[in-house]
Amino acid sequence: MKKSLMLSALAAAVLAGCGNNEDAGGNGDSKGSIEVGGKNFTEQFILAKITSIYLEEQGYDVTENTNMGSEVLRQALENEQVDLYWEYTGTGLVNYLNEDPVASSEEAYDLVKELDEENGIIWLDAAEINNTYTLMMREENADELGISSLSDLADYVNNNPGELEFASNAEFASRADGLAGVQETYGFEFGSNQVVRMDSGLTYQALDEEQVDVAMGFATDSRIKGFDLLTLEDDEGFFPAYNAAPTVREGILENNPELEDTLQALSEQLDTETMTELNYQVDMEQRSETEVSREWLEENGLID
Amino acid sequence: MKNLFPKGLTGRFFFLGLFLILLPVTLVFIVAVTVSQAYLTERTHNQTNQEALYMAIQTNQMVEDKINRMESAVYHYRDTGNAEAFQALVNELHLSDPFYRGSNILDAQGNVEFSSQGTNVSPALQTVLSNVAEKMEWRRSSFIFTNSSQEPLGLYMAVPIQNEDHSPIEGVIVSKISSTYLHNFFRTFADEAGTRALLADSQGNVYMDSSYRETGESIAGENFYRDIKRERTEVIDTSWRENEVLIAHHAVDRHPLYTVIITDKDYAYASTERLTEVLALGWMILFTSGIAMIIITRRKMVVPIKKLTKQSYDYAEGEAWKINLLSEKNEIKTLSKSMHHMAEDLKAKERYLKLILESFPYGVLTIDEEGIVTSLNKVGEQLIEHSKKQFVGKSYRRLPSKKLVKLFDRHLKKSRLTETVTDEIKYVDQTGKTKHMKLTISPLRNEDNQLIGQLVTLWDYTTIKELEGHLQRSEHLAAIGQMTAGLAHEVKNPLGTVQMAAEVIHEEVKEIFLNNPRDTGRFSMILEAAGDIQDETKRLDNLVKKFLQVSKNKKSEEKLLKLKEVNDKVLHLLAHQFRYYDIDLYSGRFPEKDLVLGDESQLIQAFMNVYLNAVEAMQEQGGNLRVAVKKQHNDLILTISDTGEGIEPSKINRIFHPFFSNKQEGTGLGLSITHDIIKEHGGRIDVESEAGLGTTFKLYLPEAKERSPHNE
Repeated sequence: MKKSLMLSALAAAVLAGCGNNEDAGGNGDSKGSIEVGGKNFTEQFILAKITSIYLEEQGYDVTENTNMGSEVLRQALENEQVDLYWEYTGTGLVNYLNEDPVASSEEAYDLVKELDEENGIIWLDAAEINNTYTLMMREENADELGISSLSDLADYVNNNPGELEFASNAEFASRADGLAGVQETYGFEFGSNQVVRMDSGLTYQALDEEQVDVAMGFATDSRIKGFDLLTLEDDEGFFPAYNAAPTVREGILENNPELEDTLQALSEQLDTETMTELNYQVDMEQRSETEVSREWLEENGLID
Repeated sequence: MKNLFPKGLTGRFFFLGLFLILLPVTLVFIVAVTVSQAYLTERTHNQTNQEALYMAIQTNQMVEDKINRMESAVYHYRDTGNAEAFQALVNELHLSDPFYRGSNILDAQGNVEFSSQGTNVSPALQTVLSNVAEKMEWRRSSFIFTNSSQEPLGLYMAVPIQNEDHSPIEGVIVSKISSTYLHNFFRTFADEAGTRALLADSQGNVYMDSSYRETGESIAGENFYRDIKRERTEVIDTSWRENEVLIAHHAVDRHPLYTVIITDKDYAYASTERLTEVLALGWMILFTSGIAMIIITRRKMVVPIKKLTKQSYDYAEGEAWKINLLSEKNEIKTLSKSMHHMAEDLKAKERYLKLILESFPYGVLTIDEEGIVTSLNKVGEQLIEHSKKQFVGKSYRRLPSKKLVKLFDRHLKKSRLTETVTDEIKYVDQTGKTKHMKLTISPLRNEDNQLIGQLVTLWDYTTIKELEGHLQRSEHLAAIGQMTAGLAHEVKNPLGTVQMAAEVIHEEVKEIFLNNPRDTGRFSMILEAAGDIQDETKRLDNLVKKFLQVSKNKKSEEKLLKLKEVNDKVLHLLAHQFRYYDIDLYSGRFPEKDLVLGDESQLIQAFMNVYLNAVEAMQEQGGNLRVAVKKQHNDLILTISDTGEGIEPSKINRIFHPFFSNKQEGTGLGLSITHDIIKEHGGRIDVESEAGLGTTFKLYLPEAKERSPHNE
């Protein structure tokens, strides 16, 4: 008798809880307003839009502030002009915390989360979007040459010196943790004649048009999918981790503790492949960011 | 419910029409309307949605383009550092493009350094500009600003003035976006009646309504606003401002703007409505023609069939004597024709039967089970001497003849209904003549052998009755003649015997006299006496022949007789004659039980006649006579066969008739008498004869049982 009473009470509590949630969900601005920020490239527009729609549906009143420079945005977060935005662990460590880049996703996340907490910035769970540097080849060419990882590439370059040409932007070609680091780690070297320098946005096209055989790029770029490019596996784990994670000011999280779980749902579903696909839809298929974002949320059951 | 639908053939017809035409047509209509409505609705929704999306893209491109223009001025300034040239460039851009409705260059603190409207900046605008500058300080990139909190409502574009991208700002270019430009730009999205295009910000402020109705107003309070804010993409089907509308909306990428397309449902669903109308019209036409077809076909088919049915019913009921031809020109006409002919044919046959009945030489009267007279033919009318109209359909008790009524009364008792009864009535007709009427009452049955009444046949018996009287008299006379002849015959036979005996005596004595001439005197006396006997018998014989007397055969006394004994007596009497005419007698075996019941002298006479007949047949050449008796069923058959001259086939049928004789001396009564006697004893005679070979007589006599009482 007692037991059943307790169960009833529990059930009632659960039901009441559900009811509250629903009320919160259905009642527009009961959860307060949130300023969502975003940087000035496609992936960031999409992540901001996904977050914005998702939070709106959860009952927040969201304002988007996108098209911002990376450091300007970080500053706006710190200065409470923006409450939340997606940042990359690598960027956090190198650009804001003056740390060395870390190759392991977990280590990089743990480190940046730990260090940034002192600044009052909380890194929520990271998604498996690793928008780091990558070396790419045309898929059929890679198949032909039997190359699928950077080690394979090193072997091939060592066996066929001077054959493959490499496209890179100036920064990557000159940075110690760029091409030089890759070559050192994997034990091979492109001849200076083999490295073609160009603006970072042009390497994909150059590779696609067979001006070069290997090119550097960013792992979630839509053109990887658009041009059927193969990203070579960083089997030695050289490139620093650039995992995307929502960063939020501590004060906001204190006022909205459920925000952590809410945004975790997004992080869990997003990965590099998904992001590339979404970027592809906006960049290559010229679809509306809103449409693509909403569609993805719906497909993954995050909203109705 | 049952009564709502016509019954019978018409009912079926209507049901058939309903199921074959009306229901399918209606079903097809409903399905077509439903499917096409669903399809068109979906298409309308998609179309409206696409419009909102397209408008959002257009907005985005427009804004990006205008931002780029202003940014290019900033880039130019970065390169040159010439502030005056920069202001001039901004002003030029401003003046050349109606998109901009007042452009200002502010310093980093929000102070106006240049304004296209001159130096006279209103406090309200100053507030807005300050807010923009404040925001630009931390954003450091171009954005669209909406001042939702202050009047007047305005849509502003802010471009940072900075040394390089994202670096701290030196100032801001703030341009108000022209509402007129927006209205003109989006006119194409609302150039159709019933459709409006709106541009709103995230607070629900409407900066542009192609119909101007909502421009400057807020839709934040509307039920669909939340959907817009949450950037949901479904088309909203709702009622707004007392109009049923479809609302599609879309967020403008990268800017806090929303496009809204509002279409009156009347307009949006016009094609659906039109299609429904067309389909409904088609359905109505089909339905009406279906109904019309049913009605026409009913008139062409069901009505004639019903007419025919009624006619046949009347015909069957006897109310009509013919079936009229119908004017239809199809199978129904054929049907009507054949029914018409059938009826005619039937009528002809019935008429023929009626004529037979009427022409029947007997009166025929029928009575049904209730005792009602159902018909009376012409002869019947004559016999009853009243018109049938007076009786038909009425009880037989109304018949004028009380005797007839009594007879019926007696007969129509239940127990006697199935018997056939013949009776006779004597009555006096209207002319006073005495008449005899004979009638039979027999059961009248239907084809299933069930009793449906009584059939009475009447005929005038008067003439036959009179004839019968005459016949009786002539039969009497014939009997007298037969008796006389019989007697004569009986006398004649013994006379013949006497005569023959006398002749024998005379001849024997004469021989003895010739051998003994001494005793002449004695012998001559005997001879004389014998001669006398001969003479006298001859005379007597003639006398008998002359005086035929009337006599009648009658069994005087009957007793059980053994057939063999009777036959032996006859043979004994005739033994002399057999010998005389050289006839050999062959007597067959007699059964042990050969009793017959009868008059001995009559049977002797009967047998004797047959034997004499045989003797006469063989007296010229002699012959064989065979006698035998055998049993067959209950009869004893005495067979007498001779080998005489036989009887010609033409005469054999007449040998038993009185006065028929094959012989010159015969009276013609012998076999006739035999025939009568055998008949009297319940027997019969068969004769078989072949001329020249002989004759066989078979006398059948019923065998008598030994102990049966013979006097009964």
